[in-house]
Amino acid sequence: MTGALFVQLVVNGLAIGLIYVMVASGLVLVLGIARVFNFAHGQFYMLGAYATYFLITLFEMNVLPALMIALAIGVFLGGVSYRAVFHYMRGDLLRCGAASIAISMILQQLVSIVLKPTSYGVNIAIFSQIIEIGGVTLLVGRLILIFLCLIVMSGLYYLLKCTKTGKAMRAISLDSTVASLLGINTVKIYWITLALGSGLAAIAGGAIAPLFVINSDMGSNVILIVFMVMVVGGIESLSGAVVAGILIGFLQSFGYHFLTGYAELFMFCFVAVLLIFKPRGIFGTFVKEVY
Amino acid sequence: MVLLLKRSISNNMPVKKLVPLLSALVTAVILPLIFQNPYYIQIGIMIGVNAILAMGLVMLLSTGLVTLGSAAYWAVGAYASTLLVMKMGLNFWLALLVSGFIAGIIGLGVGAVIIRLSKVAFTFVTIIIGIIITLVVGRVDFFGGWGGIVSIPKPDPIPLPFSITIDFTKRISYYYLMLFLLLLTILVSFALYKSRIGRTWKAIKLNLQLAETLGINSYLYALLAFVISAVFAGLAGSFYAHTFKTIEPETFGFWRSIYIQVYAILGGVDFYISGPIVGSIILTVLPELFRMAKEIEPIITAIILLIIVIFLPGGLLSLPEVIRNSRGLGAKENLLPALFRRNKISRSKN
Amino acid sequence: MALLEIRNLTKYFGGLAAINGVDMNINESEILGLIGPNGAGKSTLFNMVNGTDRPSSGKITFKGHDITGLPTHRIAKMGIGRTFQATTLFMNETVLENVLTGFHLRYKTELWKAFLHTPACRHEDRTCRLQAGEILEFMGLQSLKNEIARNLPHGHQRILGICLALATRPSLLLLDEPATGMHPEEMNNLVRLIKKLREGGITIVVVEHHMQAVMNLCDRLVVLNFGKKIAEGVPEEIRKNKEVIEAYLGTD
Repeated sequence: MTGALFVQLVVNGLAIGLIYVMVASGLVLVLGIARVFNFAHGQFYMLGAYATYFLITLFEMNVLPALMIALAIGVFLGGVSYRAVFHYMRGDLLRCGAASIAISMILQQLVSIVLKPTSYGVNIAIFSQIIEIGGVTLLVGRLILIFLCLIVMSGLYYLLKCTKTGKAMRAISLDSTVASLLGINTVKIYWITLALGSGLAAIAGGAIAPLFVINSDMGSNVILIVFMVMVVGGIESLSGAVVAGILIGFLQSFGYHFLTGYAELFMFCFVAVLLIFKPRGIFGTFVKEVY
Repeated sequence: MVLLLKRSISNNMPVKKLVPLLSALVTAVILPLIFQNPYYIQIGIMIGVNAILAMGLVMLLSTGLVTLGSAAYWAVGAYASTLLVMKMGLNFWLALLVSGFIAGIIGLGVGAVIIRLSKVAFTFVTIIIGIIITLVVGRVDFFGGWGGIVSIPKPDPIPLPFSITIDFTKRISYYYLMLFLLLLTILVSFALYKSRIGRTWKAIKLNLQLAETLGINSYLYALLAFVISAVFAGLAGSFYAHTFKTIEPETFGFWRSIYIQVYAILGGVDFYISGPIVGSIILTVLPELFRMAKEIEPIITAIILLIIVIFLPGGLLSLPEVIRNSRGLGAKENLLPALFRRNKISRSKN
Repeated sequence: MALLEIRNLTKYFGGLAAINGVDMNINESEILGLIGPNGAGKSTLFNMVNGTDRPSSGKITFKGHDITGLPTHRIAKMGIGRTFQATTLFMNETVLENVLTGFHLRYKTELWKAFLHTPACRHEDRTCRLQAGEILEFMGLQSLKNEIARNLPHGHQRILGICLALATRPSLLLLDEPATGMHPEEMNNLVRLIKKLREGGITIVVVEHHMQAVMNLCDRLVVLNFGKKIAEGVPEEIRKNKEVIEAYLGTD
């Protein structure tokens, strides 16, 4: 394997991985703070992708504003879904799961019906350009993607560490009763969390749109990988999701190149074995309710 | 065991409960004789298969564990049975038993490892295991690859005294075989739930820490539920393979597991036996009703599920109880506010 | 040899030592009071004896066996029962069913026999029900045996918690603030019941804040503060102990 190939695979893996990180972070926040299991998270990702696609192709918007709108759509959907559905079943993960599965089925089928052809691909000039760095050919698109994800994740980090809302979110994830006793408006934080998490998914989808082919299945496909990322990273750990997401991005990138057909199988088995030795994930916290 | 039935009939079950049960049983038995349409019989068979799968899942749910990979053991049973009969020439009936056993063993191996995880991690890992199994049977050629396996032989005929043979050329024989397996599952489940095993499962679900303090080895009891539910699924898988004659990886995928969970939730997870049956009936029949609008069907099913989950979280079978509770709220109270209020009050633990 | 021996027990939560190098013995048939200001580590100590938490270091020996780090159900089987600071019951079950769940360890018939509902098994069920009733009678709750646990007044719920622990036939009973929320009459009743339990041969350790009850009830006291043992002795001595007084007054 040449050095150039290695770098390409790494960049590829990083790009894919960071997308997974963004989507997974959204779900980790929703699960860890609002205690809601949102299966439809994948569909928010898909809707972000479709929205961006249509904004770029039909309305000839620039990429950046399109992404902003995708983000807004995700935020809106997240907030609405909390208020309309999840608020009443917060904490009961099975019930949330069932409701969100229903929502995800509805969304996926609607998109599949309304937008007849199943896949869409778009070509944006700058994204398909090729750049040469140190003798290695790379797609500019991938680099932009990495850059974008890093910005978003930094923004998230800043939000959680430095803003009042972020601190409130972290307080709630530790102990929501105490948090509310401290005067934090927990309900408001819950729907902010849901809005934020869904927004992350949507913007990740939007970021994917200019680079990869999108279809109505992408939501359910990504959510499975995101589950894996969460388990490997330790379900409620954000840093775990970051590490695990990148790791799985690499696995996918290298795996598809060397193993093609068996890449998925290899990936899942790798994860399964990892879990046998580190059942709580990489950064899993000690959980009392263990059988 | 016979004594259990006799005892239940005389002590625990007043005539009130017994009559609907018996009539349901009789109906199930004579239904295919009345509606001879093979299409309907086929639906009946599918209801049975789904009900068995859902009952296995509910058994695990009764300990507090949520699995989203139950279709995996169904797949194990189906593929094991197919290969045993087609490649090793085993008699179907023997293959049926062995497949159930194999599914149980795999369930034991998997469960032993993953039950130690936290509840949420457990659920996620069951998803992963389910996917792995689907990928294995899909990619590895020994298992037929993505195309699956076709032309699976039908069950061997059963010779009975007086020169009567039950053979499986007509659809109706499959129906009665399904009914037999279903009744077996129901009886086993019932016996378990009524015994102290069932009580222990309940204790584990209600308050794990307290149960442990009282000396209950929650790991073992959860594992027991896991294995038994895998065996049920395995038996159902073997039956499925030889009834429908073809199996392909798609059938046993992740969405199937989701659907099985939905059958359980729709009926009501606290109704260990009637819940899954009711859920299976509704969700097997519904898509068939909407056959014409094939694309809309999932949306309709999803909307129904959403409505039930929001307004009747205890499942359809909890409706009588909800109505009863709403009565106590005053003369003018009707059902709708009662449903809403019930949900707002249930702000469960963090 | 003491019934329970704790040697150099330490438990860290992150960087904080909730329990720091505690040594203590619990002698057979005594009623030991474990007291100290809030946050002193009393419940944490219980958690480690009972298997809920794993010590960071140290050793716990029960009846000569090393039980450090064993899972809770094993420890329960060996004869250590416990109640919790927060009322921990099966809230939607009846009082009798609650206690019956505690009989889990007493069942001798094999599981497959339970599945088949053999006569032996059913006989055992009946026996256990009777014995559960006896426990309820001993503790004074027999008239409420078909009441749903959630509907009981708080004081009765606390007593029910003790009944559950008793169902496991413990030789050592750990009571975590059993008198919480009880009014004086209920508390006197509780003290009486605990003394009755000791006469029945059970060793008892009580964590409690109501000083009157503690002084009345306990043969010996151990005082914890910030995870360390700061005093040990009979109630009379402890009452006059300077460090103990400081510990309580200082944390106002």
